[in-house]
Amino acid sequence: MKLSRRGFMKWTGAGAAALSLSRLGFDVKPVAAYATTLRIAGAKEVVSICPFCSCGCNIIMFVKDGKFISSEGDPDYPVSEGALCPKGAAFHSMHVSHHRILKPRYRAPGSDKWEEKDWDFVLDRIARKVKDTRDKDFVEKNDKGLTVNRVETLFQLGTSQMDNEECAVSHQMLRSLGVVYLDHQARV
Amino acid sequence: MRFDERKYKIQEEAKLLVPPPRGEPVTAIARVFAALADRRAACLAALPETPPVVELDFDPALFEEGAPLLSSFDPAFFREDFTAAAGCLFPGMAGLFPAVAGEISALADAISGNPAVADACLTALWAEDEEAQALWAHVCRLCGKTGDMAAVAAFAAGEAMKVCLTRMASLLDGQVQKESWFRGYCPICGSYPDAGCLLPKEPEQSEYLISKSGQLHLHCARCGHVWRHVRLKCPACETTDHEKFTSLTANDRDDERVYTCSECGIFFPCVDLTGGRQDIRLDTVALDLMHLEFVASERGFRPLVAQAWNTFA
Repeated sequence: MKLSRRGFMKWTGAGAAALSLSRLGFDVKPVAAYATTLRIAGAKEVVSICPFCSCGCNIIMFVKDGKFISSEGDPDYPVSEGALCPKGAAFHSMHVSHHRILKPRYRAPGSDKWEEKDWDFVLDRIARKVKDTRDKDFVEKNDKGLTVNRVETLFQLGTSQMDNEECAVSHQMLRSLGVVYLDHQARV
Repeated sequence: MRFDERKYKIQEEAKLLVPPPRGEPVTAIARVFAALADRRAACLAALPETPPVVELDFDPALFEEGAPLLSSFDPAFFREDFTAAAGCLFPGMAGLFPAVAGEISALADAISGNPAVADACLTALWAEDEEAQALWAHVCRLCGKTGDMAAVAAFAAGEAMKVCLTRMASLLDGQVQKESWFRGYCPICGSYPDAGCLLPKEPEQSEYLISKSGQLHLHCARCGHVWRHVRLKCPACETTDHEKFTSLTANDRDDERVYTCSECGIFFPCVDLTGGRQDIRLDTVALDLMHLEFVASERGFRPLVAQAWNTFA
């Protein structure tokens, strides 16, 4: 009797006709009745990537009924092995925080109230202000006649809530305008 | 916005205050199979002092290709162990399962009186599908019984074999190269797992890091060996598609779940021990979660390893 490699591999217990609970003398009907009383929920675990820094740690997002319900580090991600910094660990808290602003707000000059505005309004207004400021203050050459192509009256303060891609796009846009003053909230 | 470790711990402890959804109909069945697990453990002492093998010719290349340690081992070498395990286990099994006591006793008598029966059982235990049916029918004939006994013989012999393989697993554990085994089946005996558990990793060295997620460890259905596996990958078909690999929980107890795979149609239970639960035995985890296995079965999934307790027909 020589065992084949296949024989030892992946045993599933299905070699003979499966012995059922009923055959062993158990009544399965009460189990079925009990199961109907359970409140069953299904969840999906989705691997995503923490957006906060260039480490790009994997995070497992738990999704139930299409809603993001919790998160934790991915223990199989080789770099962090499931560990997260406080920002990554609070990912779900940030997502559901009541402090999170979901719509653009605008406070008019001299006003003490914030108003909700649509994206078209705020994007147009920001673009207008940036364009006007750049047109007014753009410096092509410095005092020594060297080409500098910069604007010193615009400043960008980044945020740790921006992901890598947003930072890259933002940086490229600002540099193309001539903005030289860029900083990050985490350094302040 | 800041992660509050204290608040998190309170939430985790609060979860455990919700009692697990155990119904009497389920626990009554689980108790019987837990008693069977206890008897198997007790029968380890009845095995011959010398195991069938103490050291194997280890081929790292084959192992990395996915061949378990015992893949080249002839099951006939288990004859003595198997006979001793059956002699110890079957009388108790007959008491636990009175509906099939006669058939178990007949198999016990046949094994003790005729070594050919033990050999036939060992051959049949590793056969599959139609070949297995024919081999178990042959075992029944050797016992002087009809083919109706085949399923009971396979069940009883499988339980006796678990005793033999459990001893082997403890002996071979040191030879498993954990860093090169990423399969969904056991690196020692090749069986699929009957359950999984999420275990916490070592505490972080840095106070700036938080680690609350559990690493998946699978428990072999036959030899009881525990090995690590990628958490979000089906052990059977290895899909990592989150749309297909999902989990079911009952009554908000999300530390107890059954993973289902719609790609290959299997389910297997898993318990999360990262919250500090101490009331779990790995060899009976699947029994504790039988209610969830029933739900998965009702939804059309089949167990990763078919056992008597998760075959609800």
